[in-house]
Amino acid sequence: MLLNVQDLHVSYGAIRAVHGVSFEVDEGEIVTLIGANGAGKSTILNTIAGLLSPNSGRITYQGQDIGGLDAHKVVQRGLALVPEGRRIFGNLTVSENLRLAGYQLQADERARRMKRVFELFPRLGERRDQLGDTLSGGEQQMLAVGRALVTGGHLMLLDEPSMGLAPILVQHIFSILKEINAQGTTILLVEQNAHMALKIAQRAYVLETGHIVLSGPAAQLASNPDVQKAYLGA
Amino acid sequence: MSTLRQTVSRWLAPLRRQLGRTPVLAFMLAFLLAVLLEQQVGENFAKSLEFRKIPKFFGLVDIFEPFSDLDFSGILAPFFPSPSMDVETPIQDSGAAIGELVSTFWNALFYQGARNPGFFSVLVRVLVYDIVIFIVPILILALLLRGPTLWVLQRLPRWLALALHLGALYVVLMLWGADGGTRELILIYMGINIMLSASLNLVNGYMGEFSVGHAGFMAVGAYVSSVLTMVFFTNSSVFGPALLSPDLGLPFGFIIALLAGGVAAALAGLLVAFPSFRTRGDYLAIVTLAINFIVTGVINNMEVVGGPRGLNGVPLWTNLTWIFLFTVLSIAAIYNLVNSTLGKGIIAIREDEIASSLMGVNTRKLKLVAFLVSSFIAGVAGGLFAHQLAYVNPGNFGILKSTEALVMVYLGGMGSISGSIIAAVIFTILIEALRPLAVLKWVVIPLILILLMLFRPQGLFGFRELKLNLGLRPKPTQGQPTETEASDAAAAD
Ligand SMILES: Nc1ncnc2c1ncn2[C@@H]1O[C@H](COP(=O)(O)OP(=O)(O)O)[C@@H](O)[C@H]1O
Ligand SMILES: [Mg+2]
Repeated sequence: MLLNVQDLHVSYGAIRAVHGVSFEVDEGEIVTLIGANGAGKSTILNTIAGLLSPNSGRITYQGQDIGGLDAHKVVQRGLALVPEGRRIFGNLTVSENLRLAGYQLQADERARRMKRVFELFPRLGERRDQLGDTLSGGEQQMLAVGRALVTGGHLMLLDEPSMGLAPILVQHIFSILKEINAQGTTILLVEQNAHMALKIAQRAYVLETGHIVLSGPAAQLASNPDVQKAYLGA
Repeated sequence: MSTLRQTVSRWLAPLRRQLGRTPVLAFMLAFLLAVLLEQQVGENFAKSLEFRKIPKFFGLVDIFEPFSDLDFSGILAPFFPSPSMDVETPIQDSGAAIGELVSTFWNALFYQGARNPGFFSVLVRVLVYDIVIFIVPILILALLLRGPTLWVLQRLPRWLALALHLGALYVVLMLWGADGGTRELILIYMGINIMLSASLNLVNGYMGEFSVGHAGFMAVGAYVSSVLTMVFFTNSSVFGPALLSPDLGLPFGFIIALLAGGVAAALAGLLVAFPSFRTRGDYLAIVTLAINFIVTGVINNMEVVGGPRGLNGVPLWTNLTWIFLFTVLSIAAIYNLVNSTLGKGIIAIREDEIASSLMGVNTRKLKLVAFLVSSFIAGVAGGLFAHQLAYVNPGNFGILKSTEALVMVYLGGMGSISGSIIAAVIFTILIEALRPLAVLKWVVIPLILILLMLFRPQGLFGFRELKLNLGLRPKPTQGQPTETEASDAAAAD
């Protein structure tokens, strides 16, 4: 088991956002966490990544407790978050964004990973000297994924990568995610766009107001009438 | 109009091209020779232009002198008469004062008697002096020296070539500037201002915080170093005879005192660094403002250091050499920091703190580093300032001083060291040149700022560095040398 979350509770001051969530991600999997707006998806990912600290519960990664570690320490273990809204450095170029993503790496290792990103996303390579702000939404998402690949690359957490993108771009991003996964990166994908997420994931969890209400193989959830009604618009 | 400009620029193009290929060192050497020329003929030439003395600081300090008689107080005074004043109708008296002001201004522009030339007269003669003594000789000599200097520079390792530039700069400054008078004073304030603006730029420009209380750190450095030098190395009326010998004061005592002042200022910087972990933006700006007030407030209430009356008898140890040394060291430290990996992290924090922490940037550590380095340098600058003034009081380090540092940072441009240096140079000269305008100075300077923000909000060099042609050999890691004139981005000094 690569990532194991046990009975996680997180709150913002008095506002309790996540109460008692447990799930796991195995090596090599694509796992998705689907839920409506405000269900607590981002809160869970941000807590795993070290941006928030849990009130209680355990988060173990590769068998080691990472709950409450600072974000820059979590990163050192090979776990990278593509945050909601992408958070590209808009005043910096594509290359500079990627170089910063390898902040903790040796120069040669960083160069190797950047080269891989440019191979996966040729469009980023063509725009390497373009400022982040001037990229299209799809290119920004590619850059966000690329940065996470440079930073971590073992387990990638993605927070709604399809947000605000045209369907064709979503498909493109998701096909790249599958490719990255095939090359050895485990993926935990959080989505409101359950349709696409359930297509590429092996397993899925359904989150409602801070609780997990359903879980199982993605294909099985996709055919579950409740899920279809609530998340697939059927 | 535009055709005239085109013609002129076509004529000047070859000259500009030639000068562009001339390394900075050649200009420095040429300036050195021009200084020698001034020492030989400057006095006589100035006399023949009807100056009483050699113009101060290229005449920049002289040109506004004719306005020193302007009196603005007469305009409002009739409305708020003192008991002894005899005012018939305020409007009339005020009107008379305005009329007088206008005529004084008119005279100041053109002529105000044989001994007091008008503004235009001074301006023209200053221009003639500068062109004959400095500009023309420097241009000619620099072009002549281009070949030899490039030949030498290309044969030296980079570090030696850089050291040669610093050495030449030092010699130029000493020869021209160490006059023990106006020039040296202006250069000393320039160095202090460079240290202040570059160190503040680290926090405001590179890290993207908004510190508005930089003078607070300066105050800590000034008082701590002054107390140390006075207690240990000076026989003073405040602290009695020196605890150690006055003979030990220079250079060791001074160095230690300045560094101790820097360390104390850095400790005060912690008071901003820790809150910065939790808040940023406007709220942190309020914290820095508060620190400024707390520091001056504490000093105001410390009787041992004179409270609001200030501390008198600080040894007059600051001179051009000390200023040169610490300015160069500060700039080198900041330049290396912002170009290191840590520096990239500091810039990442400015761009997006959350994203940077997700990439492994230890944001707390870097904030700590930035605030410590910034306040340390401000503290050392404060120490140098105190040992130049001989008398310090809390009023020297109020919010106005902090504002000056801010003005320089935004004038030069955020995230630009060369911008901060050039802005400090301009600002220092401006302050000195506009001194004769008295009150009007604080109308002119803000006006310049407003115009700057309107027409060039990024400042002179926002997020860019001035590229100087240092004529250095290319860096070995960059592979094959391209051309002989390898231009190099470097912080100007
Ligand atoms: N910074 C915050 N402060 C207070 N409440 C928050 C904050 N961020 C999120 N919440 C609340 O926590 C709950 C979960 O939010 P979030 O994790 O962002 O949901 P999702 O990502 O699934 O849309 C919501 O009720 C939201 O209002
Ligand atoms: Mg969310």
